[in-house]
Amino acid sequence: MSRKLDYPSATDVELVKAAQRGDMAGFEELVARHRDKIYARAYSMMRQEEEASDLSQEAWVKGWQRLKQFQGDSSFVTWMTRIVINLCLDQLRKQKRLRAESIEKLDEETGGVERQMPVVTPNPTERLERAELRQRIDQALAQLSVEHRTALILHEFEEVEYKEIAKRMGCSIGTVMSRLFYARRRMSSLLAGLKREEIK
Amino acid sequence: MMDHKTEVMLQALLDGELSEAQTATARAVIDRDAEARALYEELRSIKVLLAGNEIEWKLSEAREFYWSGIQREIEREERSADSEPRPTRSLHALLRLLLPVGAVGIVALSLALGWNQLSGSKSNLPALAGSHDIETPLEDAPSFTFRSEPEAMTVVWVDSGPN
Repeated sequence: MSRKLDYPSATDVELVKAAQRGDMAGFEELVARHRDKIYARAYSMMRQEEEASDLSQEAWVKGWQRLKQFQGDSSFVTWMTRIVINLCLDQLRKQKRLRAESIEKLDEETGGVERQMPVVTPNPTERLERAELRQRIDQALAQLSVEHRTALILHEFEEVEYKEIAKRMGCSIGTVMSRLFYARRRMSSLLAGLKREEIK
Repeated sequence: MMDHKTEVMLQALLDGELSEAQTATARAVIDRDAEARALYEELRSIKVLLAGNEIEWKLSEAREFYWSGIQREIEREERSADSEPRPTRSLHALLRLLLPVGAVGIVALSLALGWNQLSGSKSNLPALAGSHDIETPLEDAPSFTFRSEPEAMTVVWVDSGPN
């Protein structure tokens, strides 16, 4: 007879195995542990609380349905994050907030305002508390276009390589590089601006 | 002013996306060009600034409420998957329909064979042949045969018509 799993003290691996056998209580524990992280990724991409919550729940439903496909090549939370990112990308495409490459190409090549910006070196960490710094970074992220923000999030926070970003966003590697470049330049400009305000 | 190709090459250097030869080229550009150096530094600073400084958003919904929404959806989808017609079920439904028809066909076939035997031995049974008016249902009657190899079953369907 198998021993009963103590959910709160079980590892993710044990809970995943239990859930793969159909143990929904084990899956509930995984949701409780990682729900904030999955929601946070959805929110960072969608920037709308209710939509992010709905998409994160949808990701968990898909996670349950595909659980047998999870082989443990990555951590469970990384696997779940990939699911929620794909759902967000699909949703952005449906809403046409994520523009097709051909439409964006011109902007990418000319570079908009960022192309003309002087080089700046932001260094607000000296003066800001970590929580405040995070707040300001988030405000700056919110001002980026969906394409630039998505490329930046996937590369900087999820550590996804150019090639994989291109695949997920449905564009060329060159476009990913441009999006990332202008996203960084804009962030640099926005954060430098915040620093100047603070000095005044 | 630097061209965009050089700009993204410097960024790719920062992101570790260049080959060995490309890395050497990018480093040479940084060494000889102050503008390239400044841009590389800007990109590097923003990368460092972002690392580990993403806001950790938290759900405002209570654990039970959030989970109940997920659970409801899982159960709803499982119910809907169960209620979808499956090919094997369709086959069973077809067989259920065909079996009574087949049974009628077998009875009809038995009667026909019986009559042929009786007809063949008419001279031996004059009393029987003469005392009964037996119709032959197979004559001029449309019919078709269904043979199922996996089921090892033959069904003959006979349509005797309204008359």
